[in-house]
Amino acid sequence: MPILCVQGIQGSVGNSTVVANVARLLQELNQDVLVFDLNPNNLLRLHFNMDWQNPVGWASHITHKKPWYQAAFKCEQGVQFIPFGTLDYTEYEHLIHEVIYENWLSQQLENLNFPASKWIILNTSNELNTLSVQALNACNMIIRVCTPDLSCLSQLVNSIQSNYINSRPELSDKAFFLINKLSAVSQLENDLSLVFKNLMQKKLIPVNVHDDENIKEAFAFKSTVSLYASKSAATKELRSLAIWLLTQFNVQSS
Amino acid sequence: MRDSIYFNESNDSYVEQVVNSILVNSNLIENWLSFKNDILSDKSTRISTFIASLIYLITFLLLTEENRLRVPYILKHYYPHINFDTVNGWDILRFFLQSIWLITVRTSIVKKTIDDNIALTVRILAFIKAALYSPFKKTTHFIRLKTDQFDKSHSINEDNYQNDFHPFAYVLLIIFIASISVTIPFTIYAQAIFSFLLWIVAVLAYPIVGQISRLVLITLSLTISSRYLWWRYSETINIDSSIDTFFGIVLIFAETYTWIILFLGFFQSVWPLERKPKTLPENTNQWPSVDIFIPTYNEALDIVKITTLAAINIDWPKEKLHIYILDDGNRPQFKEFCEQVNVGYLTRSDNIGAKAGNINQALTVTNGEYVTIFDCDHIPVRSFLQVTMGSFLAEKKLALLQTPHHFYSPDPFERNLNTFKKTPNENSLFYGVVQAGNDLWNAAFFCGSCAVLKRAPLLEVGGIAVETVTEDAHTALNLHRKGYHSAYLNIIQASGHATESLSAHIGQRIRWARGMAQVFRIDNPLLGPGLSLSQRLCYLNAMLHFFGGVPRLIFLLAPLGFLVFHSFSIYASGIEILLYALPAIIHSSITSAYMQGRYRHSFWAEIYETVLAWYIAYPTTVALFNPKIGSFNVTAKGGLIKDSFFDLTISKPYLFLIGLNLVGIGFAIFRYIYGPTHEDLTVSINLVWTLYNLIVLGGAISVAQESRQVRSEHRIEINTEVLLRKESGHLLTALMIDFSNSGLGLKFDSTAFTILKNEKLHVIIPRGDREFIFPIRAININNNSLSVVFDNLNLNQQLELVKCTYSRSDAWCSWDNYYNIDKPLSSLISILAVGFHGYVILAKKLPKPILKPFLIALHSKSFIQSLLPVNIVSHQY
Repeated sequence: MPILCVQGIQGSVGNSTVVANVARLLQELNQDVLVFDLNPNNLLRLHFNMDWQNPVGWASHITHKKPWYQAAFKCEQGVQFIPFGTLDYTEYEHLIHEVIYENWLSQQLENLNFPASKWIILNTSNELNTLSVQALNACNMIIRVCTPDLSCLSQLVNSIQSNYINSRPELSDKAFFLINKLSAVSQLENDLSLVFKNLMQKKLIPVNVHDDENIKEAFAFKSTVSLYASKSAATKELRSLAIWLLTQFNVQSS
Repeated sequence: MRDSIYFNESNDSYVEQVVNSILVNSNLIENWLSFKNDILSDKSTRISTFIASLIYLITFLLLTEENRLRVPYILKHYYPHINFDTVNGWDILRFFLQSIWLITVRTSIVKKTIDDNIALTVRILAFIKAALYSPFKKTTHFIRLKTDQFDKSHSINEDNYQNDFHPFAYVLLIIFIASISVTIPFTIYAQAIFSFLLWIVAVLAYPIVGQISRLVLITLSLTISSRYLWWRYSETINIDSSIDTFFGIVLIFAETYTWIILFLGFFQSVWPLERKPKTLPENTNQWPSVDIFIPTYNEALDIVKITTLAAINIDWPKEKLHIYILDDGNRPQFKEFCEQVNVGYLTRSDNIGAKAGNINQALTVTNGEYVTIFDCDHIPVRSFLQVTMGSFLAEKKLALLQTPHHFYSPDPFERNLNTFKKTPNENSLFYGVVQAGNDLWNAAFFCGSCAVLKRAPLLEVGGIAVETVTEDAHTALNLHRKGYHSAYLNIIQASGHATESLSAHIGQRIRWARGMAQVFRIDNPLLGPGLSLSQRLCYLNAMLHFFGGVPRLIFLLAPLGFLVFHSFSIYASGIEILLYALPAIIHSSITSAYMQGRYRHSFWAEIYETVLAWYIAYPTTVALFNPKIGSFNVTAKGGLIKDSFFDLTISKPYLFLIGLNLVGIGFAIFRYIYGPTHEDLTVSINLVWTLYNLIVLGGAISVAQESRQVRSEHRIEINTEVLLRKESGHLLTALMIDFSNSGLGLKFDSTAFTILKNEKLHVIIPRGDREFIFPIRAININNNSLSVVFDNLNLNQQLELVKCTYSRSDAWCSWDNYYNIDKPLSSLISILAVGFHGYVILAKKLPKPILKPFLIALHSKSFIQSLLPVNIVSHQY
């Protein structure tokens, strides 16, 4: 069972957007995909046309003593997703510290008893907490999303997250980097993407996702870009990313 | 529900019911519109629309909706010669004939790419060939195995070859055997059997690839043509009659010349060396320093700029690469440009010695270990030095390495005969076979550009030679005389712009011819020190080649000697002439086709050489007697032929020759009717010869019809995925299909994105790890095709653009894939077509009253052809 953990190197690198779009494109490639939003900002659901006001999510279900898996949805095009849900501060603190015990995530995933072909994509917060650490450990591939700018570069070299992953070979071995929101017109970003390439070498996914207005517009339409603009460059690049994932897991499973 | 009630209650007639049902069927109009869009364009005539609506109604009544939608495609597919937009009465006949043909004749015909007539001929020939070969299949297979073994054990490469033959005993033995088979007199029957047997061997050897068959074919061809020449000298010169003697000697002179060229040509390309690049040491400190010279005199900065930027892009350690523009024009804007891009700018106070003098002057003020020379319009790819320099490090005596001259635009022959990328051009034989052949004998010579020279040996021979107008070949000769080696690497590493007009092209060839004649006179390769015998022969061939003008003119006029003056220039019976001459011609054709492979198609040389013959005949002859006359003229390039026109000045000599040959035909008819019967065969032979001459001359006329050039900058094909960025920030993918200095041709999905005329965009071109972005403006949008021009690129962007286009090391890799292997027969047919076309051009120049019947005949021919059924590509609908 391919379990992907998608985590931004820092905030607002387009983490949820990548998860939603890759899930959608994998599904277009006839894969069975479930996305699991572990990020308390609860953005992922908006890519799948869920109501702004709807507070439902696995975390809120747990808080309200309902089975968490009843918060699962299926969007029109067939992607299954589990939103985080809306919590207030005390509820969130309670969830993190009281409810989520060690290995909670991997046990829950095991209990779901999915077929081996099922893709599970974990949308993970960039901050390290119980949930994101469990996600990093439970998955079989980490995609670390970064944008080609200096703050990402500095986070990459030295941050709590990077230090955590780099000091654990079992994590750093399965971690790959994705350059997202690469501006075509910026000379600096182009040069920085080369710096990233030199730093990451083979760990860099060979697909850059450009900063394409279509992606933003698709989000504004509460949709994914392959539905909104199927002929756009963004769709093509994200599809290449999905295909790259397919090849990676075929290689690993065989 | 309401509809059905309505029908049940109505008392309308059946027809009215149908009409009503049609009218209420809301899909009718919608379907009609889509049907119309599928079958007609916006430019359709009213009649066409009417007929289409009739077809639609018929299909509506007879077919289901699903099948109805396929009808337009089926019609277009099975009736490709009917333009449904402009249907007229004749199209009904076409439709009718095509339908009958489809039903009765066409069963299942596979896709054909060539003309049906040719295909049929080829098929018949293939059948004959199969019938001929089948008895020998086992033998052929056996020979093939043996020759493969031989080739494997005797493979020659640049490391193990010996470029001279020493064992004189062998040579003497061969000469002895050869002289017997050449000189022994035969009866007519013996000669017939001998020729036939040799022909059988040649036909058997032809399909076998390898060195043995090459040698066998060469031996056979040399034997039979030597026999011919011996027979000519010993038996066919009539010294009794002064007019016969005169014509006989003139003809035998031309034939002897041809025989020498044939022999030297075979010798030169007997075993072309396929040299491979040598790897450079890992440590770039060991790489030598290189100066790049770009000599220019009057060329525009735009042309020199691209070459310079491409030279800057060459991958080589920056501190070991120095680029200099050698400006003989002393132009300030060149100096300014050089300062901007930080390359050297060299001028001199006088222009003595033209290009050679220019380079020699530059040699005195620069100091790289190697010198690379690019004509200002030869754009190198970035791998140029990495591909070439390894050979120098591996071979210490190497002083010169030449790479092919490649042209991305059509030369006048290719443009005017429409053979660009279809038939190999004049150049490709030289760079494909001749130079590689020379390389085996260590005689590859310098061609003025796209070559690397080692500085020390070059200085030792006094720099580039200035005594002649072909300084390049002469310099190579000087280097060879000093015992240095040369090499030829058949990998396209630079590309240039071909000469634009036929007159410029001829001007360039005149210069080469004059220069070679000068070298032949003042520094004859047969004489003087330092050369091996094989080098002497290779140089001799290169020079003698340019003396071909006079013999060619003799051949173009020779049949007139008999037809007009009734002189027996070959003093023999017609049957003898046939038995001696035909085998010689056939064998040399077979052998040439075998050796030239895909680098030249049979018979095309006839046209190239005929066009040049008149123009090089005079200068070479003059230079032979007085080598000092003649000056260097720069080959003008990059011009634009705005309107197609017929170059009357250039073609005057050919019109004259055509006139003479037409007179010859008149005489032939006269002699056939009124002459003695025993001369009929001789008359026929001369008639066929005259007709052949007329075809070739017609080809020369076709070349002189300069076709219009649409663009001043040639667009070069490419196939790369790029991104387009709209001002709004939207990105879309597109395919870059061609490029030029000023713009790009792109394909994009116009259903998903709209791009307006004059819209500003950016194009993002990936290259390796990097991507480069350029501002562009859309100038033409047609369905999915988009033409854009670059929007004020700055110097850095221009450099990057060259990096993404001309400089790519794979830019010209797939170039010779366009050429197919030579098929002598289809070549002959193409030549016939080209020759015929020449006369069509001439006919159109005739005064109207004379012209009219010709035009009517032409039109009626193409009209009748248009009525005939056409074949269609098999495809299921």
